[in-house]
Amino acid sequence: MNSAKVEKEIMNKQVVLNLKNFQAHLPTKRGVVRAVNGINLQITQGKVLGLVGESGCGKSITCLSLLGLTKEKGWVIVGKAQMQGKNLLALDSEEIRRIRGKDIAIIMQNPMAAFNPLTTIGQHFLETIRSHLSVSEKASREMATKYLGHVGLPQPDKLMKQYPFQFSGGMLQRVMIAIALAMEPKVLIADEPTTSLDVTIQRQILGQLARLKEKARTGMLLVSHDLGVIAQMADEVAVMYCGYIVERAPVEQLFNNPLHPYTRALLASKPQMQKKPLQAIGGQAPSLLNLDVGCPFLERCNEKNRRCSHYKQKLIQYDHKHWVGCAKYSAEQRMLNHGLA
Amino acid sequence: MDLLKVNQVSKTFKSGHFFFSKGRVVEAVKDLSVKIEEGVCLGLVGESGCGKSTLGRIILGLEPPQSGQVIFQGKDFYKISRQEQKKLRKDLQAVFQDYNSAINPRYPVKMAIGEPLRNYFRLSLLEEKKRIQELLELVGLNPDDMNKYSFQFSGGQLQRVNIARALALNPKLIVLDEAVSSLDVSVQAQILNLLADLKKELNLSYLFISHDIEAVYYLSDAIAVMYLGQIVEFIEGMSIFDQLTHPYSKKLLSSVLGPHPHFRTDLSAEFDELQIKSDTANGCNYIDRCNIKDQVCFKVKPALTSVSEDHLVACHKMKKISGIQMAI
Repeated sequence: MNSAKVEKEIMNKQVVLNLKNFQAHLPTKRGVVRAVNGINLQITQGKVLGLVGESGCGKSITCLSLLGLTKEKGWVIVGKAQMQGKNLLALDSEEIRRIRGKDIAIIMQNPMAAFNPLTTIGQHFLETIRSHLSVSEKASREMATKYLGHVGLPQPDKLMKQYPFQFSGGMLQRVMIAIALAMEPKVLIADEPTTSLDVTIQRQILGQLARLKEKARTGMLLVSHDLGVIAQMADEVAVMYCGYIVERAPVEQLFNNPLHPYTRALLASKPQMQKKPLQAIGGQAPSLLNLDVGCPFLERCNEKNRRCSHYKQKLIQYDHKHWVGCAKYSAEQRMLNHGLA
Repeated sequence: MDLLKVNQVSKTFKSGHFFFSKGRVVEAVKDLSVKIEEGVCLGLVGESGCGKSTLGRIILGLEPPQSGQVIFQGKDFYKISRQEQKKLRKDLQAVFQDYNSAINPRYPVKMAIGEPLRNYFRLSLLEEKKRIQELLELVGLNPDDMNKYSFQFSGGQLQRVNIARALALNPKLIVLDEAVSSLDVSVQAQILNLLADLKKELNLSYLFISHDIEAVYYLSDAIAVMYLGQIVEFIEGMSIFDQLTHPYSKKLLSSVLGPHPHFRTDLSAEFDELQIKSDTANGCNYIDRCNIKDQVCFKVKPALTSVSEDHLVACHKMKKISGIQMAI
């Protein structure tokens, strides 16, 4: 596809955030941690992009970098994150501050740790609203109460005066969603929004997010390691491993016909109301410090062949919307298969 | 013979100024009875705040209950002398959720695994080393890992170290308090498989506390569903999950997300959370959230009664249903 065609498609699909060749590396004394190695993602208006992967595969770094939260910590960020004609990764701290919380909002994993224990819920709200809009305190209070009501919290007036410790985890997570939505962002990043919550609460929070997607047409990046959450929520899924996207497909297609061995292994390892032994993925992910040439999944893969050890990770278009990064599906391999057939 | 028998234990916590009231009493565990046989895994499910962990701590001998007995291997744990308690503790081990804080980061893991050994036996250095290596191999780690520190392990490996420590004294019962909840799906599968293998190999009993019904179902031989300090349903040797009938169990089951995008769960349910009932004297605990409640439920607290063999439910409506079935 030539670039003009891509641009056109982006216009059509109303891509709100376009992440191009994104890389995040952290130089340390022992070497460079290659956390993210050139990924491309598009977040579309009113759609949920699911990002799945094990811990340490670079999911959270991707999220934090989009909000400009990694730069000052020594991370070297390369690539482009285009949103409304601006490259989020190249903005200085003042410019990104104006966007952060307004056009792009985040829901963090641990609601208990994301709030300042010394300030009330109301103050948290006002801080966000008043740093982006020039409205009176009274107006912003009304706005806050309105949004707290939206996420189904009872007696919002009363809640505004309470402190985070007076809330349960599920309630705090809803407050966080309310704050994230108060500014009606174009993009919402949900970094493991339900991991620390109970199953019953998880279901309710996901319902809330699904309703938002319908109502406010927010584009969402939903990060999770739980395939159940992804199956329920996502429209498109990207599977991440060792800082690479190894498979990308619409959600039905990914679950019906997983191509990458890692995706297959992930799907097989979830307990699903059954007693037969679980198929765990043997071994563990290689250290991001010494990523060698070749497929990063090589050592844990049970479908490897000799081509894999010098395979350079890149996404291959398998189907109209289905991309996979595995040597098995490379052009040469396919030609070989056909030759044999 | 039952390995562990918990008889009518209650534990309440008092707190000072909290929420809107001046001082209040939380009944974490209330008149709860449960037993675990040898070689059996009992799964304990429930929302956070329902008293699962408190029950685990009572069983481990860490939290003396206000009333009731914990009988482990025929001895009432909280009535016997400290020396005898120490003897019993040898057969009673725990693995907790937070694998990181369970191991001292300043010592190599051999110190952590060796500590129970040093507490109970007088082993020579060589014997101790041999036993530690044996244990590490048992949980699928490299015996040479004994000199590493906790930060050199990944989450799953560290949880294996914790399991190795729990196994050091050849215990009879291990309390697994959310032992797999904070692990990744693929690693979680590894640990669940390991626990299942160890149980078979060493004839261990587990109390598997979790809020993840799918994991509990995989590992357990019996399931107890807990709500506000009481067991509302107990089922043993189940083959089909549909047999869980208490409205709260059903709610938990319906919260399990379908594994395939084709079967999307209806997410439109209203918000409701665990609520401490204001008036605990009368009526069913679950009444505020129940959708099949009746006049009786407001007046009488349902007792845990058997519906069929190996299946107990604490719900008025269930008794009626089974009554009709019996009449037919």
